[in-house]
Amino acid sequence: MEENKSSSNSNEDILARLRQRNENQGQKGPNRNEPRQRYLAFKLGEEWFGLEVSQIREISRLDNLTRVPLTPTHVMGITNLRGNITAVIDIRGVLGLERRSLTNSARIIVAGAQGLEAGIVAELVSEVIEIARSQIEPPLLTLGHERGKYSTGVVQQSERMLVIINLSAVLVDLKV
Amino acid sequence: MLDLMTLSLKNETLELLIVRVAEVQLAIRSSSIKRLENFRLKALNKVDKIGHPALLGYISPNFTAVFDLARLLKLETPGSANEPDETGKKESQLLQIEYKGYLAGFVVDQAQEVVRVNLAELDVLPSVVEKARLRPAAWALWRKDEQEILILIEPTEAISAEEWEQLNRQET
Repeated sequence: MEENKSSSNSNEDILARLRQRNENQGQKGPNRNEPRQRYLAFKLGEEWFGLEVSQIREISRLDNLTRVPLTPTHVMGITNLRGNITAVIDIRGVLGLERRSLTNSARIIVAGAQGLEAGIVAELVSEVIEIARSQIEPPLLTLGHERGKYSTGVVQQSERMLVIINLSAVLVDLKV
Repeated sequence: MLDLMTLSLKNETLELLIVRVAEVQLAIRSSSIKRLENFRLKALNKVDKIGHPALLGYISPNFTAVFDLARLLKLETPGSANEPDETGKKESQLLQIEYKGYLAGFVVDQAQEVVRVNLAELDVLPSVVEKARLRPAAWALWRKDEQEILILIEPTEAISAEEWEQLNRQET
């Protein structure tokens, strides 16, 4: 009984401290009623990126790529995804990331915005997370020019920082 | 649902020669090819002043300009089998294609097969770069049986009118 009581007390303490933290955060803390958007978290190099789920058509394995003549280095090739010939692009270069070799974990994220569509290569796709708009901070200056240019914001999570990709900017600049 | 254009192309066919270049399979219209022969780089007459980065030299007797198709289409990869062969002994194949009244030669690794395809099966390539740069490779074909995409190319379209003029001046 004593143990339960102390456990209950400590839970109350924790809740109180969480409430206090939320109050301290003021506007920055997500409001429970605030609408949330879903993002797909994926990895490029040692960094995590997020892409709005509403912009994604499908996620597919990276195989049967056909190289296309006279294309820049960010174009890995084209592939047939359920009857649609889709361009596959590697955005690591434009984000200033090292282009290390891809493993079996690599996936193609077929996504589109403003009538443009392409398959974006991810080294690893992890999960879909819900993020409230108030959790998204403006892109950090420390991200560097390229990453800042192709990002709509960043979300600080417990163990990682997620850079939200500005898909329209990427697709328009890469002439997809 | 077929659109009118697809319908009008339904019964039209195209004969294509499939070639391998730098580990990529490409299709070239058979009707544009005047000659296909085995070829060694040492058969070339090299010139001091090379007028184009993909120009390998000229062959007799007509002083036909010979291009490395992999280099012309930017398909070379470091360490690929298509890297220049210093010994000149490597055997490739040479396609001769007529362009504006002249013959141009294009070196490929190997010609593989001739296929006849229905025009309605050709898809426009996704615009992965500026359309103008894609002129030599504007169409793709999905070969269901082989589960592969073939890219249809027009090699002569990879040489601009100015470059062509410069090459012909060099020839004379």
